[in-house]
Amino acid sequence: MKFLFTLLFIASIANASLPQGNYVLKKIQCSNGEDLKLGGKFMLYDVSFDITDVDIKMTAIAKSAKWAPFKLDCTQVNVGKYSLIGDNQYEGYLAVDTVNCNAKAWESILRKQLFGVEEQGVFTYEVDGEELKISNPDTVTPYSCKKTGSYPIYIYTKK
Amino acid sequence: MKQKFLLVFFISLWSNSFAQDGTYNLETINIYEGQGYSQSDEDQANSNSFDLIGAEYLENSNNSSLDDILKFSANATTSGGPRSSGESVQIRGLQSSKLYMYVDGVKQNFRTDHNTMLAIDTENIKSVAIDKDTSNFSKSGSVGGGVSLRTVDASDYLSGKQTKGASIISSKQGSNREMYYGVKAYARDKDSSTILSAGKRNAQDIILGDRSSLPRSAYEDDSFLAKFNYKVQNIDFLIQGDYFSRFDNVPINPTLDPPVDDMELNGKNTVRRSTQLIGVDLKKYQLQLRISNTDQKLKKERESDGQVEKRNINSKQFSVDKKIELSKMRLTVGGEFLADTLSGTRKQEALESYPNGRSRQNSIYVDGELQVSKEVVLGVGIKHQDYLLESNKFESKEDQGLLKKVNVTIKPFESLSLYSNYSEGFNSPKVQDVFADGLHHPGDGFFIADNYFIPNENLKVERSKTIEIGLKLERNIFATDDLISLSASKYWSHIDNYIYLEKIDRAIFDGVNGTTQFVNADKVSLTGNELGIGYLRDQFELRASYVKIRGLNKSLGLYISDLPADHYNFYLAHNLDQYGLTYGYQSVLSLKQDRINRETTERIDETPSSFVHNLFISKLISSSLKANINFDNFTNRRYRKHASNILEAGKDYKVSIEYKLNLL
Repeated sequence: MKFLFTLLFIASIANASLPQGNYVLKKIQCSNGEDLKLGGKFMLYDVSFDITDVDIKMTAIAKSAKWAPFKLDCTQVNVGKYSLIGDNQYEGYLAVDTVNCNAKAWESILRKQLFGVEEQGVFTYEVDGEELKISNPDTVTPYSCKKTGSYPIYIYTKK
Repeated sequence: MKQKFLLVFFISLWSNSFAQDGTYNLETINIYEGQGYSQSDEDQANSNSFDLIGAEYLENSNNSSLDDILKFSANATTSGGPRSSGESVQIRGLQSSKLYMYVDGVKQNFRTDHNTMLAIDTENIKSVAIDKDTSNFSKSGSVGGGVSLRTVDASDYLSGKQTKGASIISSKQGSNREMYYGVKAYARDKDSSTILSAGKRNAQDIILGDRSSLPRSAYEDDSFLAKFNYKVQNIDFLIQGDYFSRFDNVPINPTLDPPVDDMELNGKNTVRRSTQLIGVDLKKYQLQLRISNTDQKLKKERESDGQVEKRNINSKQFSVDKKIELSKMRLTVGGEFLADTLSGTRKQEALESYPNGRSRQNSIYVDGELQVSKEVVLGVGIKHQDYLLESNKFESKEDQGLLKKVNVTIKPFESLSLYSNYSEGFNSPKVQDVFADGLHHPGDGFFIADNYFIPNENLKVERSKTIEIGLKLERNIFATDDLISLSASKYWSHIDNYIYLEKIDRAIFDGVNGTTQFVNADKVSLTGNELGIGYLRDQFELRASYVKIRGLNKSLGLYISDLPADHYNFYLAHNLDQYGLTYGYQSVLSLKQDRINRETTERIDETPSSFVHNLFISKLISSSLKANINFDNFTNRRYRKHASNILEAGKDYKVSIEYKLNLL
């Protein structure tokens, strides 16, 4: 059903697209201006976001630092489709494709709290030079922004 | 392929030795896993199981850490990476928490997760005995043996009729620009002897095999040893004091390599150890008494906020041994009584991860050796051991055990010994294992939750049973003045309630924090094979050995992943006594170690094979002046030891000059 819906959308707005390219996540900021802490003493996060004419792909790698007292290496890939619906807005989704961790126990933990996934919805984007901001107030992945009643804004920079 | 080659070589030599009628030369003792050891140096219950590194070897090399000393041993090594502050002795794959450490008969009980270094000046060590199993009942608290160090005496520096003297030693090491200065003064007369020793060692950051510098690996040591022996009638008295301190700025966990500028993971550390020992030997009654007091203090100051953590342990020990000679039987009866008091503070308040507490460990034993016939020696022993842990936060905890051992040595020929050992071990949990509490490490604030130590009041005693079979062949092979030695052994060790650190990390959304706890694994097995070959002829000495260890946590179906790689040790020395010159070659060939638990969060990575070559030269320039030169890892091999996260030092040189002035 989701697939059909997306196909219909793509067919109706064939020429519109986000600024295509490969981006890396600079930070996640709550809509109240507070930055989320991504990474820490022992964990390194590397999130890339690839945009083509109709497809979007997010690859999130969470890896423990070589000086961490534990070894964790997880990669989550989300893929989705999108279509522009107006100025600075697009409609689409981002669904989990794969989750792989060196420690299988962490795969199931990660699947319970997937990173960056979005159900079909309307997203607002903003382009400022090499920087791309994407947000959706109705996101299903609100992180800790939910505590303050705000929602996350993904801020990417072009590779 | 190499293993097969060695095996074939070994068997062919063994076969040849049976086919020849040589003249035996048993005056030379060749122990190729220990070096230059005189059998009178230690009076061990069963020398079948011990590695021994004696003064002759230690005097001819430059050793600034235990790792330098143990690199010649096939069965003992250190883990923890190149920072000596993080080095931890490992024997037959068992880590130091499962082994005992003794210095001059005084048990060294200090240990935290990240501080396992034996705080001692290596210049004061004259011999190292490595017990590979638990059959030495005079030592306690182990499931796999341990290490016993002995420090120098005045008689080690004086010969003949010399009565007093002094020595000055200075050494330099290339890879970390280490400088050592030591001075000793010693004297003896008919009834007494005294030695005073002081040393100072400074080292900068280590240059690793990839020629990078290992940050925060510098240190500064000070040491002092005073030993006074005197005899009154048939009673020998010993009064000894020993002090060692280390200042460094290694990471909070020195086995890891965090960013230099991360002030929370780095700190300034001070380790201080002082020991006072009084000994009485009633030779007439073959009775030996020892009483000692040891204080070890660790102070860590976190650089980010100056937070100071202190961990202190005071150990009091009393031990007694009496030997009884009967016609064909030799008995040793003894006991050891230990009391430790631990305290930890952070900002003047109790340190949860190192709780205040007390422990008491007592053991008494009877060890007998019976010469059943000319060919057969039978050893049996029984030992009772108990422990008690107390902390003001928890209920006290105690347990006990009755340990047995049996060993049989059969000599069907003068040159051949066949032996079989069975021994049991008992290692009680430590206060800091049972009552650990507080923050272990913070999470990432985004996904991974903070991780806290949690106590485990149900932590049980580790108990082991080890069986070993082996043979040793020593005989002439090509001439009357040569000696070939062959040895082979296989052992099986089963450890019940093996204590390990179980770390469970959780995600923030779980709503609960991660935990770290010392827990028991019901069944762990360790097995190993050891092969050795040695050849002595005139001034030449050749040794090679092979060690293979396998370990399995049967409860979880996981490897014991920090076991050393299968490895070969090679040693070749040429002793030109007429010129006071000894030179030689030593190397370790470690095979790939890939028996790791990839699907867990264990930090241990696969380790590639490595072949590390070392050269050494020792020259007695005059009767007063001696120089030792080592060229370590001269091919600059980039390698790391298994279970270490950091490369070892690259090509390195060590030079020492010792000047001795002795007077009649």
